[in-house]
Amino acid sequence: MKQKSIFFDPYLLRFSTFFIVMILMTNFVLGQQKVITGAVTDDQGQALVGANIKVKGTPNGAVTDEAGKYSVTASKNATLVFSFSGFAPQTVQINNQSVIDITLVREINNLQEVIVTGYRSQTRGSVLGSVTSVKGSAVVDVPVDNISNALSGRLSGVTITQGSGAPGMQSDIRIRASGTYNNTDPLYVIDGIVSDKFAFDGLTADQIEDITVLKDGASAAIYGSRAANGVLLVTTKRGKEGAPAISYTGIYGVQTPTQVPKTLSAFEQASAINLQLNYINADSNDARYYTQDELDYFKTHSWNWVDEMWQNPQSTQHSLDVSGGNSKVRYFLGGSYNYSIGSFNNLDYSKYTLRGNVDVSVTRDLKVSLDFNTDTRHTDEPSWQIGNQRQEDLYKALLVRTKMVPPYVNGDPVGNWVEWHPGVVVTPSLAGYEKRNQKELNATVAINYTVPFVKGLSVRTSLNKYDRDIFIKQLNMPYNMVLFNTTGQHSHIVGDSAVGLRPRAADDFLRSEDDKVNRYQFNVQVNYKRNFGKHGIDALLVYEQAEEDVTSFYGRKDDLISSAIDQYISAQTPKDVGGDEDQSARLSYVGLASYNYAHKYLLDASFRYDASLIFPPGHRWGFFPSASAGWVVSDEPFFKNVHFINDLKLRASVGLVGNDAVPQWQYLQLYNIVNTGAVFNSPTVGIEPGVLPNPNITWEKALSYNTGFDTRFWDNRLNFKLDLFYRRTYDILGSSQQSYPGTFGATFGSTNYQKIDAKGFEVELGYTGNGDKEFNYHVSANFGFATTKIIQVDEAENLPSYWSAIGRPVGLQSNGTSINKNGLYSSDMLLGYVAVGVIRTQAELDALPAGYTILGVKPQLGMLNYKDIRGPNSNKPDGKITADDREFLGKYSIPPMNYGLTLNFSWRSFGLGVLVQGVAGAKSMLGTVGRDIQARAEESSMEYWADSWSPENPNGKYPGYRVSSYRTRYDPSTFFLVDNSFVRLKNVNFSYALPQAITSRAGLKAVRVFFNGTNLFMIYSANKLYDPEQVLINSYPTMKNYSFGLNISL
Amino acid sequence: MAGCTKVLDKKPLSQVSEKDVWNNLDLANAYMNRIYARNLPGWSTEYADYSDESDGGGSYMYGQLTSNSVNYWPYDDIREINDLIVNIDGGTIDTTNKRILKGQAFFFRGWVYFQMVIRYGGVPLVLHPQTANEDLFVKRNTTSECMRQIVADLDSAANDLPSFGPTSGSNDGHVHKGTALAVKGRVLLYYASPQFDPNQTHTERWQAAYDANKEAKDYLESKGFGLYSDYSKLWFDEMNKEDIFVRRYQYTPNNSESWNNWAASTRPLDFSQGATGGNRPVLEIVNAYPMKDGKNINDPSSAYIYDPSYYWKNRDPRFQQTIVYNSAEWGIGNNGPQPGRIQWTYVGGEQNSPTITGFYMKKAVDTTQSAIEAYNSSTDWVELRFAEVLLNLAEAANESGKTDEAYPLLTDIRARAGIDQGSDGLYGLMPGMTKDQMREAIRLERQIELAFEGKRYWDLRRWRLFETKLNGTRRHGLTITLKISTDEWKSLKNSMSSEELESYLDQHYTDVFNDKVKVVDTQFDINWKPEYYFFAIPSSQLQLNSNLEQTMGWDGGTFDPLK
Repeated sequence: MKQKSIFFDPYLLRFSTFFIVMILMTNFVLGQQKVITGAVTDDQGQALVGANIKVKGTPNGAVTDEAGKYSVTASKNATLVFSFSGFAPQTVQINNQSVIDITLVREINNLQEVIVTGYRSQTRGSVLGSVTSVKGSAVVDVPVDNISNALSGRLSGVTITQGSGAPGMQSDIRIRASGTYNNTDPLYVIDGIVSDKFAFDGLTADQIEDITVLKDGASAAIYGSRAANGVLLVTTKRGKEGAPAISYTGIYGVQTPTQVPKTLSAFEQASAINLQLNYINADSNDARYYTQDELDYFKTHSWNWVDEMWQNPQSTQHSLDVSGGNSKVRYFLGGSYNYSIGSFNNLDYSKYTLRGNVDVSVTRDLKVSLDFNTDTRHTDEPSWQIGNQRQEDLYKALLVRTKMVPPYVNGDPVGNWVEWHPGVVVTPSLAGYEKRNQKELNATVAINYTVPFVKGLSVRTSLNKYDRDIFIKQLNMPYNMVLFNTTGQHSHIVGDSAVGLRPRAADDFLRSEDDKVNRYQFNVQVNYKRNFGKHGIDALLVYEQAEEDVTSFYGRKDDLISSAIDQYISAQTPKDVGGDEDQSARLSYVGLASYNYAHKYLLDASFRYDASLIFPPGHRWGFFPSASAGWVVSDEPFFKNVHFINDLKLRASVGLVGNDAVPQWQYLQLYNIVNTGAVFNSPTVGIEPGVLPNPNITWEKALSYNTGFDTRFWDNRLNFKLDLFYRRTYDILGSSQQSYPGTFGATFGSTNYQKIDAKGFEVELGYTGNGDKEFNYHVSANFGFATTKIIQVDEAENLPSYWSAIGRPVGLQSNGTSINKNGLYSSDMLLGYVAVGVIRTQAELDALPAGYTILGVKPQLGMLNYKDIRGPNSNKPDGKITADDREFLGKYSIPPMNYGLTLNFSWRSFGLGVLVQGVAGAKSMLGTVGRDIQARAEESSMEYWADSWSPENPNGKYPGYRVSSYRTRYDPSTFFLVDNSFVRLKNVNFSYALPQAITSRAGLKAVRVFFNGTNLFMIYSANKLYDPEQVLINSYPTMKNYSFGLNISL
Repeated sequence: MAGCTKVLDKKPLSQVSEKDVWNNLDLANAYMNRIYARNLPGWSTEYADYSDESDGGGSYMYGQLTSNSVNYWPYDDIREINDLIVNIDGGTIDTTNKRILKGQAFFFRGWVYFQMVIRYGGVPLVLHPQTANEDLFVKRNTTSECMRQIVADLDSAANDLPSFGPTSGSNDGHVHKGTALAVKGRVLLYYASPQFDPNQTHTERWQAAYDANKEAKDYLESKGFGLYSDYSKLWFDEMNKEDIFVRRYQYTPNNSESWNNWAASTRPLDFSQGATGGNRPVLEIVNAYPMKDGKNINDPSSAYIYDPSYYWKNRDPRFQQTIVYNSAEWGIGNNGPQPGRIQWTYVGGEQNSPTITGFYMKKAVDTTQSAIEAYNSSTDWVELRFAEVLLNLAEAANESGKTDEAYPLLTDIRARAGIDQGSDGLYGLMPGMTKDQMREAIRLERQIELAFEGKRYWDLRRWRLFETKLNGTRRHGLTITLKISTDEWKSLKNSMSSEELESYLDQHYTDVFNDKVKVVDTQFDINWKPEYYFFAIPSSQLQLNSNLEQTMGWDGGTFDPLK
């Protein structure tokens, strides 16, 4: 429609006439003309509307219509150049063809692409900071419950770890190296509204236009107070002018574990128990020994509880949206439904979303818009008291469950040796359930007014209202397991006649909890953007105000008349009612000015002035400035002769950002009311002091420097991007507990004390193949290196330097803080002993110095011996292994290196995308489950313990020392160190777009089918024991995901 | 700009301000409730392991402790207590209640310091809530300075606390004047003991211990405290006249301080939940019980003949009320009581972690509890009962030269236990004992009367007896095996009711079972090191404060705990 109106424009008409004359002249010169038609689609088969087709060497050209079709007249030997913003241009020789369909490949770092940065949009060419982005369309094929799970490996400098495979569990997102001991979550901003992870995970990929990550300080500084960990900006799709476009996507996916660590079989488990009894010289009549008849039985009877309870998780997803509009009104309406079942029974998750926005151009200068979206998430889980909401614990328990006890006999859950039964726990009718309903309601009204009298001036004001409601209902029921007779000489074998019941008599109750979040954000923004000749100015000022209320309320009633009536009316004893309430507010002023001269010299400066309620009135306001500069060297006259470089931009920035992610009110002496008072005639409520007040508490700050360049070579086919960064985080809020003797006795809150430096670089390299009309490809690689160094930290006065964290990277030692919480792959601190090997022979034992002890114990055969490095008062070996002999056993526990390789191919209507990804350079300590060898009927141990030292197996790899209790736990040492470097095939995406000839007959614009596979194949892993992307050996396994989908547009 | 800052006017909604706590009696009492919860002693099976009561206790018993093994540094509790003592006077609570609150705080400060001093010897005395600006790098006070302060705090407590009788109704688990006096008696008894005075040169300490325990006994009796009539019901008839210092329990799901799992770990794991097994009596404690007439099992003068095969017969009644042996009746069950149930401990008689020693312990294990109730047990812990006051007084009297005064104290306890009075009315005690003989008698009486109440370990330390009595020895148990085939045994068992079976085995036990003594310390001899009487300050604390000296006997230790 738009194009038609252009033809009626008299001015254009004159031009057209001129062009027609030109074309006729060209025809005369080049000879025979013909009409070429075809369609332009993207690499996913979507029609590209408005793509440009130029006849090389002539002013001739065409633009694709709403169906992506074009028609152009050219000489039969001419060359056509296809281009579209955001895609790599493509050149095709006509060679006498009359139909040329073309697929354009998405291009990374397209300079004209418009991306959203803080409070404004910019073309990528004018961005001066370190910014990376991903289109929503790039991740639509991945069926995930939460959008964060789909982003893994797609954003350079962004690390994403999946918490657990339970449906609905979201990933942790971290940008660059963690520079603080506090929260390392980035700030989430959705359509300009400061939001949170929960809301972010409520989105679905097909509703997202793009996601931009602001990595450097200068880019993030405009979000000031909470931007120290970077900012994730999300822009959702909006309606565009045009006929209604409808799009449907349906996906089905199934998951299987990449690797489940093996544990001892029943026979090996029984043998390990006997080995332990032998080791401690237990009486040969001891009832704990497994007798020969029992050992023989377990050789052929072993029960794997994980296999018994496991089901492969599956998910389906449907989404439908429609958008369109005209010059007055534009709209986008979409909805989606997602349903997943988890790895065990009664782990279900469903999500519904509805999203719509309308933009109304009231007058030429006034635009009003309304955004409205809501989502509902529903989770079914077992009523599981231990480790609520983290079903990972269920898996962990199953993994080391005894192999010597069958889960069921004659269909009854076995209670012998078993205190609780995982199979019953996941059966709602037997053990109860927990249901979680989460709702979000989010609405934004915005008014844009272009001030008519002042060119370039506009005002925008918006009000956003956000409500969240999380309602949990839990039914907990006692249940019975069945005790069976036992056979075997020492009664170690479960028989098949029931002899009694073993109750798991947990409390019988109903409990509900309602958590609500209410907030609003009000913005007024003034923009001024204008060019004066070669001078370009873009400036803005913002006032932002937000308040938030958080309330929580819960109640519990016990003793149900019948669990069949799972309603409060049937519970008899009111037990517990509680709740709390909290309020917070933010107030901010933001300013930004950007200047460019001929788009060649670029300057940006911004500030944010922010108030945080976390701090006392005198320390509440923080000022966060930033400045950046860029120079497009390739536009300089002296560069005109450098032909192989298309463009080169140098840029540098500096910015200050803050962090206030610590608990509120720490500047006041407050007392907490707790329900753990002593019992007198009845239980009481208690009061205890809160943290020691810190009247000077203020912002944690991070000063970041970023510099780099963007360049493109060889007809824009090769692009290269380099970013170097250095960040000093100071006034880090942390406990100063270690700076005071233990006799002080106070619980410390946060003090602005610590300093951490982070530095690193990121490289991106991309190449777009000079393809033809059938075959195209794009290859890109990224590599990131980031390290941290602790400059100042809370440490004990007398801490020896070899245990000091100062000068070392973050994450090596826990130091009483929660640094490992977000530290990727870091399961335990890397402080431990240097193992020198298992003491295998009497001769080795005799060679040890007199009085030698290993952690207090006289050395014995089968023990793991360590290096004697020092004593308590000297740096010389002291003839015994004590805690003083511990060292830092690795350089990094958080991988300093991450890398990725993306390959995109398209051939005719087929598309193939491959993502290879990995990390390197860090080690981690096996967790306690890996370092424990158990000697009891209730639990098994990791399989490798089968090869441990014993008099009969003197060359066993693992130590054979056994303490007299049921569990021998080895201390952290180099013996249990694992390297977590890996390279894996992270994602494969294969798609096929049906030929237009077929789809158009069915009245459809495009139909595409696709297959997506995640974590299909490990190319290299240094860790042979478990998947290196897991935190611990017994963490919920990393999953392979296979999915199939269908995408229809009309 | 200022006009908009109103949105920033917010107040904490879920916490209480400091001032309110000291101005409001209910809040101050709640503060005290938490001090109780954090500082009251409670159930623990741990100490039985570090003694000749149970098996286990490896690193303590085999000399494997390191300087970081014992980490008890509750200065956060001390700070909370000091906060109240210093700040309560500035508030507006009435004087009577201020005094009661302070009395309780003094009591717990004395109690917590006492707990530190018996582990480490002298520790830094911090008696006010320190501010960050003062010199915090404190030194260890001498042991005698600490003891003086503990006694002073307990004196202040006795002075400020109200008087309760056992049945007043207000004695609901709060400490009272009698508690302070009885604890003071215990403190001074410890201070006089060989742990703090190895050469026994400070006779005045025994006199002080005597005076304190005498005062405690007289005072408590005047208020109606005394020995409760039934030893077996001591733990189930809660808040009886014997209970002086008690931690109460009443299971409430949201209050982790409201229950204990002692019963769960003490019961056989076949009848238990959430526990790993403790309190497994070794043969040494089993054999320590006298015969029914109070004479030692090897004493030929006993009216009863001790038969090692039928060792449970004709013993001190407290034996049956404490020790569970193979074929003993014990009415516990998974779903509640099973009256008449018999406990088997023979090889193959149990499935889930069978007892290593061949015995179980039944004191304070409530048979009415199901397995889960045993895990969430509401049975009160009695830290100090009247019988201990009598024993403390008897010991102090004997050591301070008043041996005769000890007799009636011991016979009262033996009489209550149900030991035959004997023609001399001495309940089996030897007449005319010397000080040394009486010391042994008192020590045996403590071992039996207070068995598995967490006292034996501390007594062995206090008497410095680990080395002389236990070092170089191993603890023992019984391996019990069936003499007849499993099938024969099954048909025998099924042919009789449990009463019939019990009386059958009382005559024919040796036809069915073979008891063999076994060693339970299978790897090592007991090897208590002399430095264990005062433990090392953990290096984590030394690292925080270079002014802290390490205890002598440990790496680089210079602090003399005997000063």
